[in-house]
Amino acid sequence: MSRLWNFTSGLFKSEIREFQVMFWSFIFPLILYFILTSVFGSFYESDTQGVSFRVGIVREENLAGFGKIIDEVIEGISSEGGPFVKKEYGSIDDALVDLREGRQDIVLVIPAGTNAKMTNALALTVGEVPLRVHYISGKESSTIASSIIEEVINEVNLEIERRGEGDFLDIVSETRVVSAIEEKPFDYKEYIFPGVALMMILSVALLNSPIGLIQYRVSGVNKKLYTTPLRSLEYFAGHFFKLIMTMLISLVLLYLMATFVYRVGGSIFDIRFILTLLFSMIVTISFGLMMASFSKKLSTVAVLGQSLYAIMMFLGGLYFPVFDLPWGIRWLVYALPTTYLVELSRRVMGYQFAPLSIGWLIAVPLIWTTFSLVVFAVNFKKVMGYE
Amino acid sequence: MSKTVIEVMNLRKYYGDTKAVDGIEFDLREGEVLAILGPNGAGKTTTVEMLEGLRKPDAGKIEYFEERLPPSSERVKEEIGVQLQSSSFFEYLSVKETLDLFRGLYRKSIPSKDLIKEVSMEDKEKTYTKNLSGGQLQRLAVAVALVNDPRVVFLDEPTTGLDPQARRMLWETILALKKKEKTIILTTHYMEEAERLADRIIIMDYGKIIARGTLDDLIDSIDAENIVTFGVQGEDPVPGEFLDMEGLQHVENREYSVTTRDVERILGRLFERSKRFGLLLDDVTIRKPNLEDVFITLTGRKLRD
Ligand SMILES: Nc1ncnc2c1ncn2[C@@H]1O[C@H](COP(=O)(O)OP(=O)(O)OP(=O)(O)O)[C@@H](O)[C@H]1O
Ligand SMILES: [Mg+2]
Repeated sequence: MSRLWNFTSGLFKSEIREFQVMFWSFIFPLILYFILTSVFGSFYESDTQGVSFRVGIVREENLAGFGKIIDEVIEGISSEGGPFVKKEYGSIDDALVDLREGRQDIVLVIPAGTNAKMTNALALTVGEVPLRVHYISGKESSTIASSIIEEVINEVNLEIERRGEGDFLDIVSETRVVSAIEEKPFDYKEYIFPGVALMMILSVALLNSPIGLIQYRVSGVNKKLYTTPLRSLEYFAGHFFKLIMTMLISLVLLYLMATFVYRVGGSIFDIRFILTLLFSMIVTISFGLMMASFSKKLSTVAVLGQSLYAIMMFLGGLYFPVFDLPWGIRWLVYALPTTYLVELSRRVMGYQFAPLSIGWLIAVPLIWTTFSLVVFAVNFKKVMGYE
Repeated sequence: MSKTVIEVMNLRKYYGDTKAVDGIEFDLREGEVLAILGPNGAGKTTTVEMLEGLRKPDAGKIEYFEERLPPSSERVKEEIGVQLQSSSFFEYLSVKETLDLFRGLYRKSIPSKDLIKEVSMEDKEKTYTKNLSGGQLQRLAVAVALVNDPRVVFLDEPTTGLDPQARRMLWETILALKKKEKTIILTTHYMEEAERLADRIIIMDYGKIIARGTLDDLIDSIDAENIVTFGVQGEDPVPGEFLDMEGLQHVENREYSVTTRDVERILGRLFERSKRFGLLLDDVTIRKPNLEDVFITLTGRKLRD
């Protein structure tokens, strides 16, 4: 054991003293985090104060007669330039599902009997006409949308009064709170954190690791090591722990920045979230080992590493959603382990972007890991040997 | 007679059409220094790397110690120390850290300080290996080969690239190891190195052993001739008639050598002719043949061109 530790710490020291490693593994991710947050953070925030909210309309009966006034109001607020974009639903259930999953900000229900109540109110010159508003408490856009609707209804009541059509009529809103499935206020700094963290992990697993292995073989360091009693299992264990140590250090830096500069909340300290990062380390390191076992030359492994790194980073959805991409490349999105890993971390945080269940998010990376390790085990003599 | 440490039987390694090592046999006894001498591409490195367990022989056997262990066995790896022909280490570790890393891989080890002193690298102790010169790297490689206080030491051209002072120092190191009863295999193209250090010498060419034995054995094998060398001053060029002598070879410029069994007759002829042609002789020496002469006699080529 002390032999392994001695070897690992030697490898680790020689690794992190390299400027390239220092920069790309430790410093660059922090810069990237800063850039992404500065550029896109405000973009996403202004979006919530938003030009338009999404309102789902459910008509339990169609408006007629005097009730048409409500239609006019709805048309008014959802016309071009108005605060709402409306979508009509045939059933309340469909509308509520969309509300829960974040595709609508509020749902406005015109209950059965509204026409009758309107007419009644007109005839009796007094009465309430209730409309139902469903919204999600705690979700900013939803709360704002519901108070806007409230406001609009007040305006309508005043208008009716002013037109003298009856100071008797009072359209009221009954609000119902709906709970969201994944809902929580969207925070870009938090959303991007798993992306940057996975990018860090990926750079160590796909670049440092295979390039290091091939470099040690090509330069002859390995050859000298083979003349010693060091076993190949120990060699790879040392290599593995060195990578984990490098990743942990870079993650600590990222955590410090997220906590003290961006005040990202507790979700990144959730043990389940941390476990998803450890899972990502193991999956990506296995993938990197497989890559190394395909390459005889340093240039091959560098090109392979750089390309896969970029593909996995961008098409894996680390920085932006990828599930709307055309099918021509969307299949790649589904093939990459990083898609599942970053989604898994975000799911634990309470976000959902991919139409995938937790089971898939764990199973696909596990399949990749098994496959990579088998390929590596079959080919590893190529990585280790030099003859 | 001392114990056999390594026994090599009918060892063979081909690379395509190249017969890098072509059926060689030898054994190595406890405490002896064996030098493998040969020109570039003779198969020296291939041979020692098979002994070190780095290359797999195509045929033949290598057995270590009384237990007849293969080179791949853990016991063997604990007991051998290897300096490779071209060494490279972790670039961002210092000399001391490198030694410590390798020491940690063995059960027993020598303190790094002692090793650094042995190869006179005290002033480079904290230098990263990537900043060492070629010769310094070579010395570090020798130090690393000794970290485990090995019973058998392999040195593949340990003094190539060293300046004369460093070379002499390394010879001292090797002689000190010899005093400690270490068994040493050394490859070299320097005859002087083999002559000074080796108890036994193997001369390889084209993957085969073409001669073996002690220095004396080898020299005796070429009929114990003497070599007379001399320089000529005066008329330029030296008249052909003056040089018309059996066994005469041009060394360089105006220096010549004659291989002979009858020194007196050659000397007599030289003085007689110098008087006749009015030329002056200088640096006339009579010497025993050396390994170079052995190699030339055996192959018709010089060891180093
Ligand atoms: N990995 C290899 N692949 C192909 N040919 C090889 C390989 N290693 C050695 N050879 C060939 O085998 C022959 C012997 O090489 P080797 O390195 O053993 O020579 P050497 O005696 O150590 O030479 P030098 O004095 O230059 O170090 C050479 O012709 C060389 O080209
Ligand atoms: Mg060689």
